[in-house]
Amino acid sequence: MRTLPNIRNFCIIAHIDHGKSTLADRLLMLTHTIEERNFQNQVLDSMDLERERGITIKSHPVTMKYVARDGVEYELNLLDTPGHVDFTYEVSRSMVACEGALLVVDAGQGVEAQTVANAYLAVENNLEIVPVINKIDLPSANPEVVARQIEEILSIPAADAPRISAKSGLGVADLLETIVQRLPPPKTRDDGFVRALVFDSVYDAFRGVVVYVRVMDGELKAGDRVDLMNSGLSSDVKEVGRFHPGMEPVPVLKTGQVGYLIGTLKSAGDIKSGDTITLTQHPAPEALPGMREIHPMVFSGVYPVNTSDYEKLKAGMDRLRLNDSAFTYQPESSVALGFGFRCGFLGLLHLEIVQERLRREFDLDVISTYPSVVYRVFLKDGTMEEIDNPIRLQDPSRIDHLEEPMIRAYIICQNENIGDVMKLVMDRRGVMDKTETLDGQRVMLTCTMPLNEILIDFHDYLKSVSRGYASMDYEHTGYVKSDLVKMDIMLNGEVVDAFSCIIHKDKAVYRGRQMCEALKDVIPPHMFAIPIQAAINKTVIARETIRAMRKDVTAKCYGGDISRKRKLLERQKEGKKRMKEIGSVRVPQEAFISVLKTTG
Amino acid sequence: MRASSPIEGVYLHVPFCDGKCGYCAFYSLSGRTGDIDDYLDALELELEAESRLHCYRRRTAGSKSALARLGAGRPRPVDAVGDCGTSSMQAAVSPQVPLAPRTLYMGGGTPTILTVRQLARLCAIPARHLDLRRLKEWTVEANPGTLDAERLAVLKAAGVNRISLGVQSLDDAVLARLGRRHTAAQAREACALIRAAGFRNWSLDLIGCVPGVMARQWAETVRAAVALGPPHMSVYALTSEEGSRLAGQIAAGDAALLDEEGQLACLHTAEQLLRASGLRRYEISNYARPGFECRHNVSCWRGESYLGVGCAAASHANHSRWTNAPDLDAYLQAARAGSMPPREVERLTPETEAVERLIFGLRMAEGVEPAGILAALDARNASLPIGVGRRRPRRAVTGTQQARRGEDAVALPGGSMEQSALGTHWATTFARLRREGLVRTLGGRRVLTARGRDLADTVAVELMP
Ligand SMILES: Nc1nc2c(ncn2[C@@H]2O[C@H](COP(=O)(O)OP(=O)(O)O)[C@@H](O)[C@H]2O)c(=O)[nH]1
Ligand code: SF4
Ligand SMILES: [Mg+2]
Repeated sequence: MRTLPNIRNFCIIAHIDHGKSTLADRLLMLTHTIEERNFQNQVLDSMDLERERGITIKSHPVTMKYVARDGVEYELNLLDTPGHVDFTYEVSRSMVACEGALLVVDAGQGVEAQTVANAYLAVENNLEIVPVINKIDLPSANPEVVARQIEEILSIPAADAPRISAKSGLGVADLLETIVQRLPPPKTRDDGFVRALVFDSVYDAFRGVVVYVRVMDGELKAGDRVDLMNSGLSSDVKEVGRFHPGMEPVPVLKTGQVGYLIGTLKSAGDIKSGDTITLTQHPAPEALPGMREIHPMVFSGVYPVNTSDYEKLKAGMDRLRLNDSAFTYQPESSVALGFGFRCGFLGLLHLEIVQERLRREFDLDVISTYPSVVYRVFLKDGTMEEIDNPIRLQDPSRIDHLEEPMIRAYIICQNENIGDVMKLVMDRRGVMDKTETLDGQRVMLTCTMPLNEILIDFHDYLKSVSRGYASMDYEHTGYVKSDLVKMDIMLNGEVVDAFSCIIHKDKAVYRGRQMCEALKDVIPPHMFAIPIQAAINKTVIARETIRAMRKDVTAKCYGGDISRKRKLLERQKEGKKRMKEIGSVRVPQEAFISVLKTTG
Repeated sequence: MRASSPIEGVYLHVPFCDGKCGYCAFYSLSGRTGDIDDYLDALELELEAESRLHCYRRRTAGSKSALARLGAGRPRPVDAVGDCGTSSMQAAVSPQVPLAPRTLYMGGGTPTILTVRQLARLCAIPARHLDLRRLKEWTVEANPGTLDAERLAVLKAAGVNRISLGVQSLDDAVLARLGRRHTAAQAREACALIRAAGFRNWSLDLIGCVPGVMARQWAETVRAAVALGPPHMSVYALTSEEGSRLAGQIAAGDAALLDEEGQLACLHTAEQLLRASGLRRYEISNYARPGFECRHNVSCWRGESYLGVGCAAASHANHSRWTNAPDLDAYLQAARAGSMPPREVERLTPETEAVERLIFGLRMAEGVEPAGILAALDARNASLPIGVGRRRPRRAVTGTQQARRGEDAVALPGGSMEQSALGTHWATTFARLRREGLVRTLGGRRVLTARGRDLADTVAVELMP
């Protein structure tokens, strides 16, 4: 093994809003990677949506040159990472390309759930972690307490953790020194083979697929012919380059460096993060240890409100997929909604973001069906199948049992909310594993819960019972056997497949009642009465009825009034057209959202 | 190019009242009686200009060369009434064949708050600009408290042959609650005066569904109204009209409308009592003894052309609808400047026109004949170049589909209801409405059932494309 002493590859991990992006910006400025006059806050968060929501969805690597106090020039490769739970995989894929991580903790807020989850991920990925206490300029800053929290909860020494203000720049110059001194340099096997790790890929309308790579061994240059060892694809290398922070071509991407490669590949979807690139002429005998493959965790049917928008929706999804390999979709059809797509997301936020992008970037109105996790169905004949759509659940007589995915959740909340939070967790079929005191005011609860219980609105309730203070993150822990049933919702006697869901037996009646009530409130009266029923295996467990409409308000209509009256009716017609016709019932779009709302 | 249909009705708006009823969203002003004389001048100017414009159109319809020979005004296609709002009042040629409406309607507001002299002036306007030889019906709206024998005599002498009286209630407490400015006694007196003045044809308006009015109390009001002997009655539900005081109170939570059941009961009571006394429900809110239906309104609902003159008045002619701006000052100002009042013009596509004819026609007991409406639509389409608000008819329905729809596929000499996209939509929708008991079939006509009348708006919305 050879060490590459002048390179540092690292990422910054933090709970949301603790200052990761601000710190990244500050580092770019101090190293003159960008000039202050060109400075736009949070350079690395480039999508509008990200800026608006203050979250990073994509990681953008960037290379900085830093001349340290010892006079040596270092190359610092920073990989920004998203903070949100849904995007854990993004964090972890950046980590594979790094040797170290700065764990940024807000000096006023202290350790939060994402701090914990991200720190654990970094440990799992064998990263050297340097805790950084940020926002020490705040009057509420309490670096001492925060340092102690880091040590106690995360078992990471923090007595000499750098204390900085990313906003004012205080301590950031010293932090650059710390990075050079405390983060390990990359190592290479130096065995004559080329191995580069693919950690991301994006689609560029002009240049095609841009593959983000970390060269582990050997070098890559334009003109090389390369193989992707896991997928079996090959490509000519047209260009290699680095991020400064914009893409800049270089003749050679050297050992230990982070940069990009543009080949002849057509779709980002072809490329799997974690794959190994090697030379076709002289292939490495074995690939790099891959990274955990990303599997979508949450599935939902996405349908155009206007059936004629199907092609447009498909085109939109194709485009999104080019840049978001975690998003999956395949055509499906629903009796209620017509033709659409079964989409896989990393979590609920990811689902929301994709929907929002379809709306904004492609001007599409979409309806999504009740979200589902992937269940394992064990049949009596000894086989097992995985289903992500309740519709596919086999006849109960053929099923031996079902398993559902579980998570380990870290919830940090104020002491006075423990009771409410615990009750919420228990209502959601959760089990407390551990309660740890963080400081005088806060505790961290570690609990095990079914993923399907946090799908819909767990975060909202957590925020509301804790008056906004609680934070939460989670990791997947595998499957357990569970007493699950499929619940159908029938409108006017017909099952509306879009509302079907798989649910724990004990919760079915309660949930069925809630869904019926919610639908009763949002579906306007029709010319006939509409029964709304929740049923398990054709047995009705809850029922509501929307009474038939009997009378319009008959306003005066004299001759001169005709155009006014017609316009009024036209407006009503527009409203009706925006509804989805399911059988003979017109269902407004809100219905698909309202059934997701629960009451705790 | 098809000649446009003749103007059948002329409406003159009088936007003055002696107060504001709570439910009112009409364009009516109180405290502006000082402007009435100027207003009458302006009204006359607009009528004069319009009648010239329309004569000109009638004369030149179908003959562009005649138009060129006349060399008058700017050459303009007959159908281009849409831009008449910008034309000068002097632009048109002088009348040779004046407009000859069958109906005249003076509404408001309250025309009868005009002084006797002003009322006489108002009534003298039509004859100076219109050919009244075809005139069958001339209605003037009146409110109790503003109507006296002298005014009635003026109206009678001018040729008015129908009075529409806004009684609304025969219960003083209810009248006060509605913000009316007259008593039940005054209403009764007005009825007596109308009859005494020799008007055989008159109408009495009632407002039902007023919250807090007991069923029995309402029935008494209806009976009492019938006893006053009007050959025509209008019965409306109290509704929340955008811009009215009531709408504001409802929004603020200070008032509410009657619930669905209450409204239904109230209007059914009225229908039963009126039918029993020989008043037939010929439109959703209108009842008359046979022969006393309001010709003017029926003509409007049938989709015939009418000219509305005055501030906020609406017109329908030459495949367009236009409405003068509800702004008295702007109206007077335009008249002083010698230009047409500001107005909003909407060009009706053939399809919109067909839809209007269907949904407003359906509100009447006589119902509609969809096939006839579609045939007119086809004819108008055929006269328009493709692309000018016109869609190429889609002929997509197969013979078997047509057969399956059975009764709802109306055979026409040249085809059937389903030959256009609109026809197909109507055929399937009517079939469904019939199954749901909202519409009946009478030969080639479609008529609302009793339940259909309760849900007339919903039926209309269903039939819109
Ligand atoms: N007072 C203070 N505010 C900071 C500091 N660093 C970041 N912030 C603010 O904290 C908020 C969140 O910062 P951001 O970098 O977007 O956090 P991220 O979500 O971790 O990327 C922003 O409003 C920053 O301006 C700091 O050192 N001091
Ligand atoms: S009388 Fe008629 S126009 Fe005048 S305020 Fe009352 S409802 Fe309105
Ligand atoms: Mg950020």
